[in-house]
Amino acid sequence: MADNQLALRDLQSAHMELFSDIAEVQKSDRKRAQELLSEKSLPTATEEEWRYSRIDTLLSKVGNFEVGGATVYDSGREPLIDGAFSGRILLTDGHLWFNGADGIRIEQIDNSDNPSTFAIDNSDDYFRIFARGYAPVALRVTIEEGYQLQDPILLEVELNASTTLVAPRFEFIFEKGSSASVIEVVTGGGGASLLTPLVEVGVRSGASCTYSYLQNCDGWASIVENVVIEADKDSKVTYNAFGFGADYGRLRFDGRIVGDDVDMKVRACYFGSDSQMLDFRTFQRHIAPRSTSDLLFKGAVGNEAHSVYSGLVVIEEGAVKSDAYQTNRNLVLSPGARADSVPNLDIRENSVRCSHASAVGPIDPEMMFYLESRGVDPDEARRLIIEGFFKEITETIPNLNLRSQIGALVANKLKGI
Amino acid sequence: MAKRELIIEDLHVSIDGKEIVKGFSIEVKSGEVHAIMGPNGSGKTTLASAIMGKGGYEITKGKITLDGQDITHLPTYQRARGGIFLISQLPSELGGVYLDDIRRAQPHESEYRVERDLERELSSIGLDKELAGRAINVGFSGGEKKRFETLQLSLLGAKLALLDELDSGLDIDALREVSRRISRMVKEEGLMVIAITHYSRLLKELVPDVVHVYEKGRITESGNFELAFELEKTGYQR
Repeated sequence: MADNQLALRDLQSAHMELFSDIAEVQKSDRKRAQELLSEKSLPTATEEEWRYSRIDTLLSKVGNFEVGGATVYDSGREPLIDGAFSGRILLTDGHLWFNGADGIRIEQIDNSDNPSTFAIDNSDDYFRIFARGYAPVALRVTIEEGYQLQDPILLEVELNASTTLVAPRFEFIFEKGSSASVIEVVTGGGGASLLTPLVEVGVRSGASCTYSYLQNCDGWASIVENVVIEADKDSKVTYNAFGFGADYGRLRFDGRIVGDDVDMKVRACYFGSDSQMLDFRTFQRHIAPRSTSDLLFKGAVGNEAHSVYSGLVVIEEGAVKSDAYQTNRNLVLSPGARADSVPNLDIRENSVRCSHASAVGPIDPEMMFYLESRGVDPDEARRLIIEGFFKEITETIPNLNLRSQIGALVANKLKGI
Repeated sequence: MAKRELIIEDLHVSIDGKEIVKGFSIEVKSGEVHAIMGPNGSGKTTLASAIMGKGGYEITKGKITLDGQDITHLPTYQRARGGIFLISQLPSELGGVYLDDIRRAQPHESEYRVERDLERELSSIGLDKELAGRAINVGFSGGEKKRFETLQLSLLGAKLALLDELDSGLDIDALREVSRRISRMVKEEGLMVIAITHYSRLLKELVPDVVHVYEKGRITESGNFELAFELEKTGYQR
């Protein structure tokens, strides 16, 4: 561990030099994160939060990682998702390209004079702070006040180089009364790369945000993604996560309800195969009253894959009349596969409605019998049940191209199990 | 059309090594309705599950023949394709699976699987069109489930319908509509029916040709339609 610690520190100082010429205000923002990080010890698998994370192996590779800088390109490649987009951001191997229609402002945070809108402290995830301190690319996407964007904004993060660390950072600000959807697709990873993207989303009063995240990295990649969503008064948030790829794929979701009457929905589908580890940590934090957060995560694991869901609902003092729901269901499709589910509640206020539920188990034999007794052969019956299990979520994806791509990913997974 | 006939001879069924069905025999011919009545715990559901080939129900002895073909050890889906249709007492709910999925999974070469007019079937069975387009049985009431199962029976067609407590969860009107649809298939298409029930309520609507008393894993008495009402008055311990 000591060696890894050293290697990561070297990496950090390399970053420091890289960013020595940026604007003072930004420097102080980064500096603050860098200081926080230096007080924080590296995650280890002995901590409960990182217990299943393969973090030790992951960090043992860190010494070999190179650092990607960002070059802004004039044109991008074809998008991975079909359809029309209001805006596109493409980050591929340290090359950045972006454009946006009316109502969308995209700027590199390092070139602007406003500091980050999101405060961080010592209790935040290691890799969130890491990205805040050392991200080679930091972009802010603003959906301007009152704009209702019909087509989604597509954010693609692609890494083809091997043994590379990429910690890009994105801010999305949905200004008052705006409405838009974002599709984030993370792919690639090559040989043993580590991606630690950070996405911070601010949804201002009365705004509506639909954010879909598709993680389909290569089999050797590791990804630790942090997403933080702050929802203000009367806003509406739907966050969908789809996790299929990577050797180790982690998503930490921090949903923070900071204004009254927020409606927040959080959904995820994940499907692990081979020896994949898919790791989900969620927080639904109610700080303001009369809001709803409703979380449903559904996963399947086959072969020797392992999934973890660990979620916490926090109702802070003063967040009266909060409704918070948290459900995690898992299908275990092979004897060597495993799913862990740990839902939790921390309620510090009266007059709230909260529930949590979790289930881990094989395909219900009664469902199999039902379909077989209708003349459906067992392989087809199994396929229908597993696809049906995910449909509760996938059928709600508003973008049909994304929906069909996810359907294809599920079907593809099923072939190997 | 091939001769329709179900013959079960001396059927023995065990679950986890425990024998539940102990020498059950029956012969059902085209267009016949047979009722099987028996007390709780007599193994009626086990019988229906074993005929459908459910996993865990081991046929240790005996033979099931449908239209001259030995189906005793066929897997469930092949029995279904051979023409057996089971309506369970508590039909499963299948999230994200639709009637269309089942229809698409049917083999093309099937001789009896029919393509009926969905709208007409819905109105004759008394089922809302919106329900038929929903995931199978999800959020349905008990009565809606049985109507939906009957819809599938009529849409997919069958040679033999196994009805396990069809009347449970059904009110009088629903029972009548569902029974009439099944009776019509019996009359017009020669559907064979084995109706397992506690009560004679169902049999007033779906009139049986033969009533069997089933106790402790075998048939102890057979008679005509009147037997059902006699049993209702006297009970099974006569």
